[in-house]
Amino acid sequence: MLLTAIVLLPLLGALVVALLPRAEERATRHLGFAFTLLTFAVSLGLAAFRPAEAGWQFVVQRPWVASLGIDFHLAVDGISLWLVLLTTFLTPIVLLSSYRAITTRVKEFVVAMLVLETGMLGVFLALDLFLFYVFWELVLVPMYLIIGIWGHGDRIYAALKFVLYTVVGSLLMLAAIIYLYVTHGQATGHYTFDYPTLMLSVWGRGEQLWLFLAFALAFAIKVPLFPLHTWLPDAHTQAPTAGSVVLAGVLLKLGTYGFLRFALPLFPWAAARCAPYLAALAVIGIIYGALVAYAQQDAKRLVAYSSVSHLGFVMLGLLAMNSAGLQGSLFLMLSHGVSTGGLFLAIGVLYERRHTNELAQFGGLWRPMPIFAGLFMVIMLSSAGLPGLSGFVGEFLILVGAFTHRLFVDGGEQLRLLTLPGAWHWGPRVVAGLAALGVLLGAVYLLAMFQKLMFGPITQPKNAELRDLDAREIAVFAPLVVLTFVMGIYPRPFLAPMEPAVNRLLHDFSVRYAASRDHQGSGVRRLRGKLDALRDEADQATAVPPAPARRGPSALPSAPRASELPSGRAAGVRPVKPPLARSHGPARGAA
Amino acid sequence: MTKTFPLLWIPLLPLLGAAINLLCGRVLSRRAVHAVACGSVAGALGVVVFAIFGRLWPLAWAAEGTHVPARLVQTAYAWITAGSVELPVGLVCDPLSAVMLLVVTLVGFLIHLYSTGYMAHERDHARFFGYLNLFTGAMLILVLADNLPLLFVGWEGVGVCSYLLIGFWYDKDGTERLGLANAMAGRKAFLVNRVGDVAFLLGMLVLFAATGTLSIESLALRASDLLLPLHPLGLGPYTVAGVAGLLLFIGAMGKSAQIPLYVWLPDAMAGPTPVSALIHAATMVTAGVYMVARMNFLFMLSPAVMGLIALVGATTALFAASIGFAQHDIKKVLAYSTISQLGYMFVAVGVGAFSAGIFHLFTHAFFKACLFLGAGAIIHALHDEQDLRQMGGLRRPLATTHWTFLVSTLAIAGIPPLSGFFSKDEILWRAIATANPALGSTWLPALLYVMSLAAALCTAFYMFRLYGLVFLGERRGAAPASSHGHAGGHAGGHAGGGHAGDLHLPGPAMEAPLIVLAGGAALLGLLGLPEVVGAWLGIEHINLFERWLAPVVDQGARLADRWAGGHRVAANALAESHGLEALLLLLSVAVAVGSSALAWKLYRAGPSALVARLTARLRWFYRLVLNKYWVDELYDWIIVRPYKALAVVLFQLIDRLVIDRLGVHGAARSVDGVGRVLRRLQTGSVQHYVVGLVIGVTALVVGVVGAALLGGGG
Amino acid sequence: MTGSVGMGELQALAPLLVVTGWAALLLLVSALAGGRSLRLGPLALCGLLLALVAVVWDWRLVGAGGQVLFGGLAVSDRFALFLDALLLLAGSLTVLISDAYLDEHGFADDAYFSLLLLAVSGMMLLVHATSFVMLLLGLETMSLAIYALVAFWVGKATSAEAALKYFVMGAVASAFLVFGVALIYGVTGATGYRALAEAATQAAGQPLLLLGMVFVLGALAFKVAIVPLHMWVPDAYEGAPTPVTGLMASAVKAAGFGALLRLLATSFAADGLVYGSTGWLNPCWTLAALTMSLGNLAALRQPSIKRMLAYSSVAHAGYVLLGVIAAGLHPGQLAPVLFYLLAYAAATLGALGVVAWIGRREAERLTFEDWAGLARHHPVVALAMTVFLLSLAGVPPTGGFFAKFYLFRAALRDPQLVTLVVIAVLNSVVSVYYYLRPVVAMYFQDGVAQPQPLARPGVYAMLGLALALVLLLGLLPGVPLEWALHAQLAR
Repeated sequence: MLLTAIVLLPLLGALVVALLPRAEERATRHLGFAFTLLTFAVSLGLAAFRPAEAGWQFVVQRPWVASLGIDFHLAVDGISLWLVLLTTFLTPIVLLSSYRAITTRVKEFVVAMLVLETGMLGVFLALDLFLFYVFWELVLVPMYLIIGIWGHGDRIYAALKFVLYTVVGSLLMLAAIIYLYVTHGQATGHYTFDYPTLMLSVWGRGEQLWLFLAFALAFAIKVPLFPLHTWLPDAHTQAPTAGSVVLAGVLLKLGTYGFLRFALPLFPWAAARCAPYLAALAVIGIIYGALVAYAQQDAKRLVAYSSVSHLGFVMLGLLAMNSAGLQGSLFLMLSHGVSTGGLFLAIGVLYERRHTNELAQFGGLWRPMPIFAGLFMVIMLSSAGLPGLSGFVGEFLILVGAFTHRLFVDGGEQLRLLTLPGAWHWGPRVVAGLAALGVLLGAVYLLAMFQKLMFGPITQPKNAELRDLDAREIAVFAPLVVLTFVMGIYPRPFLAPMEPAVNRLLHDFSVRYAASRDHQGSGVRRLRGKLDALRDEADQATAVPPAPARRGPSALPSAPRASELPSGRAAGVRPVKPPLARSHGPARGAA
Repeated sequence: MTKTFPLLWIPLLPLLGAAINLLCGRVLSRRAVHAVACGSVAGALGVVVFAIFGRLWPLAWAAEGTHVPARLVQTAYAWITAGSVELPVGLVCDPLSAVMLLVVTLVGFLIHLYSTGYMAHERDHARFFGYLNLFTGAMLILVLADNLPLLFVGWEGVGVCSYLLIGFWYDKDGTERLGLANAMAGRKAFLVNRVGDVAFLLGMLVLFAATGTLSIESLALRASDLLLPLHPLGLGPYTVAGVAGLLLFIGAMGKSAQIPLYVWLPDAMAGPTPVSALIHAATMVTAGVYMVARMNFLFMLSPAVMGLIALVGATTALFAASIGFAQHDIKKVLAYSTISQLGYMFVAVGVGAFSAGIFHLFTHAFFKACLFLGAGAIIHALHDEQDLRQMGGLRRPLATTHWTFLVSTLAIAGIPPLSGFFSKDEILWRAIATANPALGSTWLPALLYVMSLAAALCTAFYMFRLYGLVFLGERRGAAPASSHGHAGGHAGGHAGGGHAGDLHLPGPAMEAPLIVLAGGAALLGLLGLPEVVGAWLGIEHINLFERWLAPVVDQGARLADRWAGGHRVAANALAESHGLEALLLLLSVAVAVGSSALAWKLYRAGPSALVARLTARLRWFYRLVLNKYWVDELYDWIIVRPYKALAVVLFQLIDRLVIDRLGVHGAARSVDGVGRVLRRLQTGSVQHYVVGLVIGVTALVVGVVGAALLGGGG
Repeated sequence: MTGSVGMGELQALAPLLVVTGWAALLLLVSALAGGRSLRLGPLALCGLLLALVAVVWDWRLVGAGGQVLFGGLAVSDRFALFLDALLLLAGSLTVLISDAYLDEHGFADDAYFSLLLLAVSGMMLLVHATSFVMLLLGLETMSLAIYALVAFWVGKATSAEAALKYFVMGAVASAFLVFGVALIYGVTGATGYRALAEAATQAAGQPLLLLGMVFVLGALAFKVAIVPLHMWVPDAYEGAPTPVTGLMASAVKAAGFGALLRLLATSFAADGLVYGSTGWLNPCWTLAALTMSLGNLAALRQPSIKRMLAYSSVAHAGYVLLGVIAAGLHPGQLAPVLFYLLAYAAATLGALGVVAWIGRREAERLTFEDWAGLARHHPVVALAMTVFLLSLAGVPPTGGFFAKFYLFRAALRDPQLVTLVVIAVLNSVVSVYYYLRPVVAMYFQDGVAQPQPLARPGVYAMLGLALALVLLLGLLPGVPLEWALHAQLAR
C-alpha cells in the first residue's frame, strides 16, 4: 500500500497540476513542489523497513491484466530501498532549484517532472517485468520533452538522440521479456511476468546468451557503458539544469539497477560468459571517461563524462559479484546521485547568472561567491573520492570487491568474471588496478574544472558582481552537502540494509548459475517440482520475510558471518544445491 | 598494556574549530577567530599532554622490558562494514604516535599563534585559520588511526588542506597572474600526491586480499600471510610484504616529497609562510616517514624494499641539497633543505633504524619550523621580499629572529651539541651499522654513508650561505616602501609589531614561537644521545628516545628474526664497535664545522668575489643546479603535455568521429537514405503503380505456383 | 438451401440491415430535402449507434458457435461482430468529425453520409461473408462507396486524381479477385468457404488452385495495402477528405484483414496450403517483413503529415500481417490481430482527426512547419496528438503498446517467427523517429502564426473519444481483451 502511494502520488500531482489555470505559475510551482515533498515524506515510511531481512517488503500485488498474468506487483528490498529514497529525495530539490531557471511553460514542466518521478520510482519498485517495462518507457517521454522544450543549444538533436538510443535497447528488451514470458508459460503452463516466479526457472544456455544481450543492451545504453555513451554528453549539455540533475542523479542508475536486478541474476550463465567483456568496457569507461572529461571546455559536458567514468566503477563493482563489490556499487550509485546531482545544480547556478557553461567564461569566482565556492568544493571533492566524503566509501568498496574477486561455484569451478578477455593472466587485480587509476584521473579533471571556475584573478568584469547563493539556493544545496558528509563519515546505516539483500542475490546467482550450467541447449527448466507449488512458496517468500540462518555465498577471502547471511527467497531453490561459492583463506598464487 | 582513552577529542577539537571558523568566520570578530583557532589546538595539545604524561607514561613504565608496547585505544564506531570489510573508526596512541602527537599539536599550536601575527591583516583570515585547524585535525587522525583506510582519510585530508593553503592567495595579483600560479601550485601538490595515494590504495588492496584485514595491529600478527608469494602481472614471485611495501612506499614518496615525486614541494612554497612551516616542513611531509615506521613490521619482512627506500632517501638527500646551493628564493632554499632532510629520514627507516628516523623527524620539526617562521618574519619585515639578493645585514634590526635563526641553522648544519647533530649523526652511523639484512653484507652501506655525509656537507654549506646572505654584510636593495602588503594589502599598523626604517618588526605573537622552537632545536637532541656517549659516561640506554620507541619499532625486527632467520644478527655485528662509531662521529663533526666555516667565509659580506669566480668557472653546473636539473620541464614534456594531447585526441577521434559520426549518424543516415529513395519511387503516375501491382502479383504467382509445380513435378 | 429467412437469421442480420437501411434512408432524406443542404450527421450517427446496439444484442445471441446466414453464404459469429463493432465505431467517429469538416471545406453533404454508411455496410458484409459471392458483393459495395467518398472533395484537383488512381487500381484488384474466384471454382467447384476447405484439402498441390488463391489473397492484400500492392495508398490517402482517409486507414483495413483472416482460417487452412513451399506462410513472412520495412522507411522522409500517416498505415499492415501469420500457425489465435486492429484504428483515427482539426479551407496545414508551436496555443490537442503518435509508435502506456506487445507475444510462441519479430522491433525503432517529428514541431519549435483550427464540438468529441479509447486500451486492456478472446470464428 505504501509503495502504491509512493509511486502514484506524483502522478496524482501531475493530474492536479494539469488542472490548474496556466496563468498560476507560482501556484503551479508550489503545488508541484508540495507534491514531491509529500512523496518524500511518504517514502520516509520506508523507515519501517526491516534491515536484517533479505526478502521483499511492503509487497503490493494485485492482478492488472489477469488473462495475461500481468500483475501490479511492487515491493522493495535492500537493493531498491535507497534508490527509491534517492529519487524521492532528489526530485523536490530539483523542482526547487528550477524556480528561477524555468520560466516558460511552467505547468508542462512540473507535470513532466512529476510523471518522470512516477516512472523512475516504478522502475525501482516493479517486480512484474511487464510493469517494469511500462515504467521504463514511461520515463522516456517526459525526459524527452524536458530536454527538447527547456533545453538549450542543439536541444532537439540531443532529445532525439536520447530517445532513439534508448528505444533501440528497450524494444529488444521488450522482445526478450515476452520471450521469457512465453517460454516460461509454455514450459510450465503458467503464463506470468512475475519476477520472483521467473527466478525459479532457468533458461538454456543457447537462449540465455541472446536474452542476456537483449537486456544488457538496454541497460548498457542507460548506464551508459563505454561505446554507447555518446548520447549522455549531448543530453546533459543541452538539458536544463533540472533535467541534467535527474538524468545524472537517477536515470543512469536505472541501467545499473537493471543489471543488478534482472540481467545478471536471470541469466547467470550468459552473464558469466559476457562479464569479462563488460568488465573491459567498464574499465575503459572509467579511464576513457576521465581522460575525455579533461578535454572538455564546457562544464556540463565535463561532468557528463565524469558520470561515464563513475558509472564504470559501479559496473565494475556489480561484476565483482561479491558482497563488498555490490554494496560498493549501490553505495556509489547513491553517492554519485548526490554529488554529481550537486555538481549539475552548481553549474546550473552559474548558468542562471551568466547563461553559459563555458569554463573560459569564468575564473576567480571564489571572491564574489564564497558560499557557493565552498559548497561546490565539498561536492567536487566528494566526487573526486576524497576519503571522509561519500564518494570514497563506494569506490573503496568497489575496488576491494574487484580486487578480491574470486567466485567459486560448486564442482570447484571458478568463475572469472573480471578476467580481461584476451589477456588471461590479467585477472581481477589488474582490472582493479586499472580502475584505481580512475581515482587519480578523476582528481585531474575535477580540480582543473574547479580551478578554472573559482581561482585566479577575475578575468571577466561580469563575474565581479555575481550574486552569491540566496536562501532558496542554499536550501537546495544544504541537504546534498550534509548528506555528502554523513555518507562519508557514517556510511554504516546505508550499507546495513543492503547486506542481506545483496547476499541473497549472490546466492540466487550461484544457484541459478549451477542450474543453467548443466542445462545445455534451450528451453525452460524449472528449478524444482510442480510450478504451482513453487509459485506458492514464491508468494509466501515474497509476502512474508524469509527465515534467516542459511549460509549465503561470499566471494571474499575471509569467512563471512554465517548468521548474517540469510537465504532470502531461497525457499524455492532450496533442494537444488547447497550454497555454492564458499569462503576460503587469503588469496594465494597468481594475481 | 592497553587502556581505553577518549582519543577522539584530540582530532575533534581542531575539526570543530575548523567548522566554526569556516561556517561562521565572516560574522566572527578577528579576535574571536584567533581565539577559536588557537584555543582548539591548545585544547588538543592539552588532551595530548594529559594522555601521554598522565596515562601512557605509567603504562610504558609498567611495560618496560617486555616487548608489549603501551597503548591507549578508542573505537569510536563502526565506519565501513560490507561483506568481510570491517573498518572501525579506531584510534590508538602508542609511544610512536605519542611523539607525532606532541610534534603536531605543540608545533601546530606555536604556528597558529605565530599566524595570528603574521596573517593579522589578511582579508579572509577566518578561512585561513579554518583550513589550518582542518589540517591539524586531519593530521591527528592520520597519526592516531589504527587501520590503514582511516590513516588514508587523514593522509588525503592533509593533502586537501595543503592544496587549499598553497592556493590560499588564489587571486593574488602580480606579475604573470600570480594568483593562478598559486592555485596551480596547489593543484600540482594534490595531483602528485594523488599519484602516490593511488599506489597507497593498491597497497591496501594487496594487504586486504592477502590477510583479510587492514587493521595495523592484526596485520602485524599475520606475518605468515605477508610472506605469501605473489605474481603481479605474472611476474615474480614476490612476497605480499614486498609488493605491498613497495606500493605503500610509493605513497610515502608522494607525501614526503622523495624522488621522483618531490617536484610539488618547492612550488608549495607559494602558500603563506606559516603553512610552509607547519605543513611543508614540520608535520605533513613527515607523514610518509611516520607511516613507514608505523608499518615497520611489514617493511622488515621485505628487506629489498627497505634497501630501495634507503637508496631513494640518500639520493634525494644529496640531490635536493645540491639544488639548495644555488637558489635565490629564501623559501625555496628551505624547501629543498626540507626535501633533503626527509631523505635522511628515509635513509634511517630504510636501514631499519626507525627510532633514528623518527628522532630526526622530531628534531627537524623544531629547527625547520623555526627556520621557516624566521624566514617568514624576514619576508614579513621586507614586505614580501623573498629574494636573497635583496637581503643582508638584518642581524641588528631583527635581533630575535636572527638569534633563533642562527640556532636552528647550527642545529640543521649538525654542529654539536645541538639537536640536529645527534639525530643526523645517529642516522649516519646506522647507515653503516645497518639493521637491514638486504644491505648487510654489501658495499651499499658504505655508499649510503658517503652520500649522506656529502648531503650533510652541502646542508651545512647552503644553510650558512643562507644565513650569511640574510643577516651578515650590508643590506642590498631596499624594499620599495610603497608596496605595503600581503595579498589583501595591509591596512594600518601592526599587531604589536613596530617599524624600524622601512621594516615591519615582528610582534610578540611571532617572536614567542620562534624562541620556543629555537629552544627545542637547541636542547631536544639530548633526548637521543648516542650509545657511544653512554659508553663513555657509563650509562645504560642513554638514548631515551630509542628506549621510548623500542617496543613499537622493534616489532619488525623481532618478526624478521622469527621469519627471515638470523641475517639481522650478522648484519649487526658492526654495530657493537664503539670505536668506529666514535671515529665517524668526529668525522661528521669535522665535515659540518668545515663546510659551515667555508660558507661563513664566502658569504660573510654578501657573495664574495671567490663565489663569483667559482660560478663563472662552473657555469654549466651552476645553471644546471640553478634550474633544478630541469626536472619540472622534463615532467611537463613527458607527462603533462602528452596527457592533454591524448585527452583531446580521444575526444575528437573516438567520441566525435568514430562513435558519433561513423556509428550513430552513419546508421541514421543510411536508414534515412533508404527513405529518400523510396520516396522517389512514389512517382504518382497510375501507370507505374499498375505496373508495380502487376509485377508484385506476378512475383507472388511465380513464387507460389512455381514452387508448387516443382513440388508437383517432384 | 432454404429460401426463407428465419427469425434468428433476421436478428443476426440486424446490424447489417440497420446500416444498409439507414444509408437508403439518408439518401431519401437528402433527396426530399431538394437543394437545401441540411445536417445529416446526427442522423447518420444515430443509425450507426443503433447498429452498434444491435451488434451488442447479437453478441449474446449468436454465442460462441455463431449463426449461419443465407444457408452458408454468410455467417454471424463473434469474430464478425467484434469487427462490426470496430467498423461502426470507426464510422461513428468519422461521422462525428465529418459534419464540421464538410461545411468548413464547403462541399455539399448530399450523398456523403449515405455513401459513408454504405461503405460501412459493405465492410460489414465483407467480414460476415463465408462465400466468394458475398465477398465480391461486400468488396464492391465498400470499394465503390469509398471511391466516391475519395472523389467527394469538389474543387480539389488532388481529390479527383486520387480517386481516379484508386479506382483504376482497385478495378485491377477486383479483376484479380474475380479471376481468382473463377480459377478456384474451376478446380474445386466450390464458392463457399467451407465447401472450398474440403475440396482444397484434396486438391492442395494443384497449381491452378494456388494461382486462384494467390489472386484472391492479392485482391484483399491490395485493399489492406500490403507491399507491393500499396502504391495507391499515399496518393489516395492524401487526396481524400481527411475523415475519409481516417475511415480508409482504420475501417477498410480492419474489414480487409477480417475477410483475409476468415478466408485463411477456414478455406485455406489445409496444411498443404499453409505450410511448406506451396503454403501461404512463407510468402506472407516475406511480405510482412517487406511491408513493415518499406512502410516505415518511406514514412521517414515525407514532407506532409497526412502522407506520413499513410505510410505508417502501410507499416502497420505489415505488423498485422505478422499477427495473421501467427494466427495461421496457431489456429484460433485471432485475439492479437483483432486487438491490434482496434488499437491501431483508434490511434490512427485520432491522429487523422487532429489533421482534420488543424486544416482550414484556405490552408490544409499538412507540413511540419504548419504544426510548429502548436503545444503553446493548444496544449490539450497537442497532448492528444502526442498520445496518438506514441500509441502508433507502440510506447506505453498506450493501446498501441499493449497491442504490439500482445501481437509479439503471440508471434514469439513460434520459434520460426522470432526473426520476424526482431525485424518488427527494429522497424518500431525506426518508426519512433518519424512519429516524433510532429511532436518536435508541436513542442520544440515556435510557430510563425497561431493556427485557427476547426474548433467545433463534433471535432473535439471525436478526438476525446479516440483519446479515451487509446488510453483505455493501454491502461485497462483487460475487458476489450476478453472480448477479443471470445471473438472466435464459427467452426
